[in-house]
Amino acid sequence: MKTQRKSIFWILILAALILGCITFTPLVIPYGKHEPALFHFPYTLWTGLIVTLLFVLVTWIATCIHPGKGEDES
Amino acid sequence: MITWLIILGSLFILALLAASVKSYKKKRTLDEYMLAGFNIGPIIGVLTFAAALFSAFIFMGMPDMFRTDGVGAWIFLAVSDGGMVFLIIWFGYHIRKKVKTTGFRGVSGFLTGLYEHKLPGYLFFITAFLFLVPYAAIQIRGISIFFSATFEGALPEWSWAIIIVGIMLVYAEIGGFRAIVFSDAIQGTVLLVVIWLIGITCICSFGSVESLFTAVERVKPSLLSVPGPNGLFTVQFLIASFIAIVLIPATQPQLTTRVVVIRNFRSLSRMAVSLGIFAILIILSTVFIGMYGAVMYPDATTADFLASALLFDQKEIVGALAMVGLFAACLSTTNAQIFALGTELRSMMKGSDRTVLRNTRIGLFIFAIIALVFSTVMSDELALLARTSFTGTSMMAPVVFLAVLTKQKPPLSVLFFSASGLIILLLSLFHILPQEIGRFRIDFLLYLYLAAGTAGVLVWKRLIKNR
Repeated sequence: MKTQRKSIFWILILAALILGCITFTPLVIPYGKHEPALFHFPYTLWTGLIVTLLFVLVTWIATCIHPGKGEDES
Repeated sequence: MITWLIILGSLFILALLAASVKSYKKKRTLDEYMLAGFNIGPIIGVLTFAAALFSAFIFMGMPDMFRTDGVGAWIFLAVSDGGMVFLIIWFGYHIRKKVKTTGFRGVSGFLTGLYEHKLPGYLFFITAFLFLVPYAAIQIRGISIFFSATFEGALPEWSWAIIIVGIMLVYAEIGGFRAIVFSDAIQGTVLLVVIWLIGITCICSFGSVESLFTAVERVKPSLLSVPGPNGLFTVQFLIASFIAIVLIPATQPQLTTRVVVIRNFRSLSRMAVSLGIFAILIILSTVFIGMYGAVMYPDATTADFLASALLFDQKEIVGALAMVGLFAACLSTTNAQIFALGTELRSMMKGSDRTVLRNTRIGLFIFAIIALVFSTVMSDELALLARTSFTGTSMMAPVVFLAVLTKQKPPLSVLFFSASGLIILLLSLFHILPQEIGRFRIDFLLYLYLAAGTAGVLVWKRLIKNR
């Protein structure tokens, strides 16, 4: 069980790294472009918002399956 | 507004007093005074972490950054904060595990113990001092310019700074770390409420979010994309900022301490996720305030824009709440930083609890005075000065990570890379070395240098072991 959790945690670390890398590509920050907008938010703002939300989501999953979960409960 | 300010200000001071009195115990141990007895729950945890992290820099620096440099500021801070909350879980788990076997009095002392040498502790302390004092000074400076712009002619700028430092010293000396954590919780709540009240007013004055962004597009469309009108948000700048901010829980001692003193890993987990949501909420509102400023006050100075957007364009009660919120923001972050330096100093001291406590209190006083003096000579670019502080302390990341992650005694040779990185960064900040080499920013190159150096040290250690 713990090994399985460890593997999933490593996958989540990889996901966080990939998210970090994607942020600095034209997919999220195209130079001088603010279209298409989403809910009137300019492009970089809404893509950035999604990336941030994904980071929080990855963190939340990580807290649920962390191999050390429950180790230092007191 | 003055009546509201008196009412809300008095309530805030009363809350601070209550926090100090509640935290004060006559016969408390040194750990209770400096580290709140390692017993901070998740709700107070997230508020104290957020308050220590966000502060006047988010209240004043971020709206101004959105106003002058555009939406790339979201990538600069919010995305980086997203990465940082993930690091809190990963790094937090490892450092807490290590602390169980070594104990914890402060990061400097922790490093000294693990490396079995005084140099890493001294290096960490010097770096923290060099970059936290200006960071604390930024807060004091920020609030001083804001108050003097608001109450023009009432008091000179430096006297506002003295009032802030005075209040901060009194309640930190009385209540210790626990009082700071409680005041952070008050400040975190006030900050979130106030910033959204102001953000909503800014949207409402244009009718809708759509109208606000349409107006920005008409005035200065370059604000809606990277690199922004001043070309600040280049890929290199954003990557270097991302690394500096993500590393904050490991390299800024006031935040590392908060990761360690939280009650247990479950509380830390809840704290990290809540912090991510808190960051999104708070930074999102500064987007609206900044965009509002871009249309209404495109050419105003920082102080004039902030005084107008945060105070004079608001309803009286919101303006008064903003004043209190700003004051609280500045107070808690400055306090967190000054107290962190005290904790670091204490972690390297030896002697009886009484002597160490007395010397730490003297240290706190001296650090506060130095920050006060610095605040009179700082520039107004709050967000960029905060980033410099993050970059500076991030040079210590290899030293901290190797100490926390290696099972045996970490190799001292890693110190060479962190120390040389720090010196190069300082020389470039003082313009003795160029800030760019070829087409590359020096901070960006320094991160490559630190990563390569640390990898080299690890490979070398393994080779020696295998021989």
